[in-house]
Amino acid sequence: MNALELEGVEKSYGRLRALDKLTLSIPRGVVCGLVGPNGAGKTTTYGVVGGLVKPDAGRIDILGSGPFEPRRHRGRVTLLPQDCALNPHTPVRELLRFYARLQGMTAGEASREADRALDQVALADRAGSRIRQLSHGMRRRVAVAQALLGSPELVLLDEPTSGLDPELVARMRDLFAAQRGRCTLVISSHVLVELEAVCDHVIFMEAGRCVTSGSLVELTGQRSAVRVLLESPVDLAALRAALPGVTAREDGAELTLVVPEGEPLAAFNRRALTALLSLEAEIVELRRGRSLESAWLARDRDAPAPQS
Amino acid sequence: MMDRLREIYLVAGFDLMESLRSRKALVLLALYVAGSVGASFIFLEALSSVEDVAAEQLRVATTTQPGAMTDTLMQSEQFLDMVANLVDDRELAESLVSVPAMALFYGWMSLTFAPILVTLTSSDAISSELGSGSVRFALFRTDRLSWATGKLAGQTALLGLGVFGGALAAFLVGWSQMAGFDASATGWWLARISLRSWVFGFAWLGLTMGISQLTRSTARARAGALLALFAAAVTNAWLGGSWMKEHAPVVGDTLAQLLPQAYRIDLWRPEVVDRAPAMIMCLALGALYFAAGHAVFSRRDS
Repeated sequence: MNALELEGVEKSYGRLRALDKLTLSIPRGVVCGLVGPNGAGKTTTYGVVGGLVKPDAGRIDILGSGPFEPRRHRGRVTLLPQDCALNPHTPVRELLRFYARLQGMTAGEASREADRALDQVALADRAGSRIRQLSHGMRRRVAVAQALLGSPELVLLDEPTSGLDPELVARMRDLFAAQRGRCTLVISSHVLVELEAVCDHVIFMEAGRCVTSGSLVELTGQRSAVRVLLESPVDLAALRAALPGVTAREDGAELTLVVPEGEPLAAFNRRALTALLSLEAEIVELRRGRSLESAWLARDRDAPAPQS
Repeated sequence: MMDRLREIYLVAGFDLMESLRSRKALVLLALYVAGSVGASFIFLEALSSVEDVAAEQLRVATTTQPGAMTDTLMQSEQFLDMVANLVDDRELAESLVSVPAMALFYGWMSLTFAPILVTLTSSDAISSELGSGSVRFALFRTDRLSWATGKLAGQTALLGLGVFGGALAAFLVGWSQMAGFDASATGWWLARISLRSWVFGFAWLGLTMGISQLTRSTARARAGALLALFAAAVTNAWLGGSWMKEHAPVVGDTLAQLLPQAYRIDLWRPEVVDRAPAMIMCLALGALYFAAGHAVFSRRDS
């Protein structure tokens, strides 16, 4: 069963069409990256899933129990909205306790959950501070903490690491990765390297539509191609001769080798490396598939026919 | 149902605490209480002057503390006639002159200023959360009706704090400054009158919170609430004016029932059966105005 299914969802703000018959599905238990340029409809998608934005048309199914309904989904679905301010005058711990209690927890459970969530985002020492006394990055971490209260089954995170320093970004990445299998995480971000490190499922959105979706392995070709970064170009004809049956493409210093169907990746790597070394290629980096950024940039070429 | 009540209670408690923590609400409440103290002192000064004039006319010794002659003055036939002319109701006038002077004054003051207090403290209670987006953190956990009703309940509690706090301030001024101050009677009447002001203020709070649900802009919400307050005053004056009484008295009277001012005098009536309809109407009007705003809020994107 999928954690989230959207079918033909439409939403317009006046003349602006934010979602254009959006259809997508996200399997349970994955960490899913939602990728798209500004105005692609990512935030609106979060809004319609969370019941904050009323869709004009379409079907939404969350955790197999229909569209969002607060009493049915509270505590099961949580959201980190983008650019939303937390109540400024409330101490951090009290704010989290309030949200936890609204999710249905008792006072004792809410206190324990608030402490646990604050610990997860490394803010236990600021539990008594008021929101307005925190820096932007700290406020963002409190916002992340509220999304992880309890045991949510679906967590929607809109730009969760914006404004965080590199160390905290890494910590958040580990935190999100640790949720894999426990719940379904949907993360939107412009930092594709970050998404690539944590996601196992990716959705590309553009102009309110889903352009491409699938597992990270599929989209980046991690089982079907090897990318080799070279100091200087290699003799492509000689390489093709040394690797019969292998498609080789060269783009400047980057060489892409497509793994023949049925050949184990480890065996192919051995064969390819041997051939490259015999040609005295100066190898800088070797990685499976292409980067998520390359996949995103190649989305038009790779995308299936547009949805009707 | 119990779930909803629990959520309303949680939101109300949170909202009240957040309001008290914000400097704006605290300052406004403090100003209201300080205003109550100041007005009470001014009232006592005026009372003292009236007593001096009365003492001179009666050729008796003047009093050092105001209030010594107040009972005598208030129970005189001339004073009763004057009040009866003012409220156009002899029975009501008799009940009013039996109210301790300080309670009577505070009742007038709180019924006059409670609408302004709620406009200033509560007009942005919902619009500020819509504007900042903080509402989104809550609406994932509770439905819009429970959240908005909780906010209304929180602001109602804040209004109660202001009205009862002001009454306590007036009581303390009277207790420390008035001769022959009947603490138990004044305290009892202040509590009763504060409750009525609270109910009267709720009607205005419903209007203010209804408007607050219509916009994300705190400036627009505040301007809208002030405009509504002004429009209600003008409309009430027009509906009760001679032109309307002459040309369309039924229409005027009917429309006036939709404004809280129509029930202000009735809130002073001594008998519960006479007073209760006015209190119920104030509560109903507050709920009606709030519901009208919620009808828009429940359909809009947040």
